[in-house]
Amino acid sequence: MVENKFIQQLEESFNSKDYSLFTRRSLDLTNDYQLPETLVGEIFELRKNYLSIIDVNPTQQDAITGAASQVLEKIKLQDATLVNAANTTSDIVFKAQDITKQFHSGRNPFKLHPISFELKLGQITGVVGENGNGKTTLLRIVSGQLSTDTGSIEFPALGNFSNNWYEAKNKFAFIPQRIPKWHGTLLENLLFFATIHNITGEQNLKQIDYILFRLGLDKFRDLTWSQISSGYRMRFELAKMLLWRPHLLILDEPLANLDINAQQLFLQDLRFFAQSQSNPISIILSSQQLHEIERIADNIIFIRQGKTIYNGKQIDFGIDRAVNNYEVAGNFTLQQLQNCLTESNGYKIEDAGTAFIISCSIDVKWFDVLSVIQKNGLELNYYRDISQSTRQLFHKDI
Amino acid sequence: MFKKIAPGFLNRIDTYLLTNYPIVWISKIHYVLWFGLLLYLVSTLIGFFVPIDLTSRADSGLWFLLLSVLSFIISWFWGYRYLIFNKEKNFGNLKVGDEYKNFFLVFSCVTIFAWFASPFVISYNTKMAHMFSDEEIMEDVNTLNEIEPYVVTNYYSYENSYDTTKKQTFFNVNKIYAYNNYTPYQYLNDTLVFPKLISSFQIRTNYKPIADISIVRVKIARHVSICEKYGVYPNLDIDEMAAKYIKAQKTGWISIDELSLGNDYHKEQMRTAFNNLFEAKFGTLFIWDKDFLWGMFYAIFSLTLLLVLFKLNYWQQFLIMGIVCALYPLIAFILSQIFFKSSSSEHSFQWFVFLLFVTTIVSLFITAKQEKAFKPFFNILNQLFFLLVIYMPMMVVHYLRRYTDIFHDHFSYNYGYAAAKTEVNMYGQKIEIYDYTYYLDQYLYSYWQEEYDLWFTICKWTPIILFFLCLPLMKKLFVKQLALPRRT
Repeated sequence: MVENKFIQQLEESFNSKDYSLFTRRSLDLTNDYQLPETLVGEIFELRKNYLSIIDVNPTQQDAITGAASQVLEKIKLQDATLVNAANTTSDIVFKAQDITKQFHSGRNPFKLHPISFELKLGQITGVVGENGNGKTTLLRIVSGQLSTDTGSIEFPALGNFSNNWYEAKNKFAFIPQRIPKWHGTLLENLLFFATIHNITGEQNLKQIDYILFRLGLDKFRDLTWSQISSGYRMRFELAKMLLWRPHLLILDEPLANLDINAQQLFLQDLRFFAQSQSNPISIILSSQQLHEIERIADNIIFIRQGKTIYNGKQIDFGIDRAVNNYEVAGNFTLQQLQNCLTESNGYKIEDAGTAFIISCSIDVKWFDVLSVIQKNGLELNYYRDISQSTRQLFHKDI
Repeated sequence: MFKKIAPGFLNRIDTYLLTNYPIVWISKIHYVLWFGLLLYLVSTLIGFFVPIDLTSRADSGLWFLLLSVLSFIISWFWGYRYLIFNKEKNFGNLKVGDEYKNFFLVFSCVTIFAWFASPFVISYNTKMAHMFSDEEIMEDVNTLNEIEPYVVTNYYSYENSYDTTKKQTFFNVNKIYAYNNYTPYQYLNDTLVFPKLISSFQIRTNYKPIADISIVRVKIARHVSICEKYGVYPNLDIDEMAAKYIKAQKTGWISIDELSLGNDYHKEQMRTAFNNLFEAKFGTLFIWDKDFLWGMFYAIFSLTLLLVLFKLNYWQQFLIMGIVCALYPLIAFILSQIFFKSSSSEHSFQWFVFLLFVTTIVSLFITAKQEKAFKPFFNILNQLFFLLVIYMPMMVVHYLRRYTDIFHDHFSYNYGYAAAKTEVNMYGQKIEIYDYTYYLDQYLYSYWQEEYDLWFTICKWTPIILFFLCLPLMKKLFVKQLALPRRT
């Protein structure tokens, strides 16, 4: 049977008329479970219809309600089995022990201090930190582009090839911040990547269709690299990497060229792909979109000047904190805020540039702070509880 | 580009190969075969339609060059397509035998490009060979040879002498020196294969001085008509030439001052025409020459290897390897000139090259042990090893023959000269005399020449065989380096 969680998610998206999510997750189902050809065809048709409707008139989405309902009912009745469950010897894809890296050249020699961590299948690890503090260096080490000075690296999930870089890179996908140019048509590249990873014949074409419709890229398939925007280049790069189902996906600043909606969709998709039933992926990514990353990441690594400030589960960050931190912004000055949230009441306020960070006792909850601000008549337009966010680790550096 | 001008079925094959056989697809062999076939056809047709000028080979040479340049340009398009899709740099699945497949396919594509002008050569040659029948040409050569003494354009064709008192050259047309002028040199003595060609002896004995101007006129007219048949137009006045002959014939010994000799450039053209015709009919085309074929093999092999190495290595190291290949001989030459001067510098130069090769062999073992990080320097040496490996053993054998006594090369210098030295007692003194029969020398020379040829052949074939046997190891070595993390 299709997992209940999956069905529930489909029902929720159907009920809330989120046909984007409904059709995307339905397609994921075709990739994870062995479904009858006819149902697979219907799901593809539904997704195609959805994409063609939102291309022309997004307000007409309801036109596919009937078809979506039929598909949902059929899925519920399916006695499907998982396809081709990931064949690995361990769920740990990458294991680093006390690795370091030092660059001597240049005006600012840099050192990545010892760090140990594991990347597991189905989990997302976010690497955050200020600019030039070692995030890209760490990701390049994980991707095998950069060697370490000390420490050890293993790939337990590869079994016999646990120290073979070629085999590792055959299973790892790395999307750098600056994506290298693709030559030839986009479709040619996708077909080629699938073939060299042993997805051949009919399966190849099916997989390409799946990934292109899944990521809404079908209409661009015959274009070339220079004919698409940088945002779509990132999505095509993701498509290219995902279609051969890597064990580990490494993304360096993937959100940089995506608009706000695309970012949300991209991160949501990452979560789904990571937790695929048949081919779970371990994902490690760096980004400046801190809150978005924290929302989807299972683990966080915070690096400052090459030193690991935090390395652990995202939900564990700040669990033993002594203070609560809130980030606020609005039509008021620091002085006005300090007047209503006085130091004598246990508040400390820091000017973070476009917002203020309020530190207060752990007993003071977010609604307490809000009510004080409201009582003083300050006009608030941004509020975020960062008590369990690495946001508070960022400092103004100038 | 290929796709836009290719027929539908070829594009369907392309898609099929792309989704099933990436190595074959990358090589674009299907397009190369198809367009190669068309271009070979065009090349053949050009050979048939290009007008033949028997008196020169410049025209065909120009067409050959043009077609080769065209082929070179097309090969760049192919090379670009071949290089942009890279299985190894994208860490695709490796399969046993992939490298053989890849090398063979690239070798085939390069061969097709390299031989693009050959159909032209063949068809042009075939057309030339069929312009005249064998009998017709033999007859014309014989006729021209026999008539030659009656067309007085060069006193060297006759008995001649320089009078040191009068300071004048005299010649006598009644006695000829003329040999078979129009018989191509390389077929001159081939009377077994060409029994119908008359010999120089027959020409001399057949020659009879003629006093009747009308007969001479007929003979010269015949000479002119044969020349014109082959596209050569003599600038001769038949009556004037006949009169000159009669005057010279009657006078006997005559000074060249008394007789201005005619222009004989057309005779040179005729010789070229017959040479070309004989070569076309009976010669071996240069493209089938053994040395040319070996030269082509090495050129195609090296080009294929360079393309394969480019795909298996980072472009920076490949570029440095290319620069080393280009500059190392120069550096080795300069060093050998500086430190080893004159006679031993060539010797030292070869040592420098050999030293480089030994270094590259050592680099293989170091690279095989690399586990942690990519080392560019050793990568460059590894590339050099595979590029040098098929040439180096031949160079070593050549070196050993030239600079050591292993192959007793001194016999080749003595060949034909004295070998057996003996001492005889003459007038009470011991005198060294030489046995000029030299058959022992001949034997030793032949023996060591055969020995050298044998070892040269072994050193020619063994590295090629070993190279192909070790091709998967080569790939393993380079893909390992491709995957290793870099220091910066």
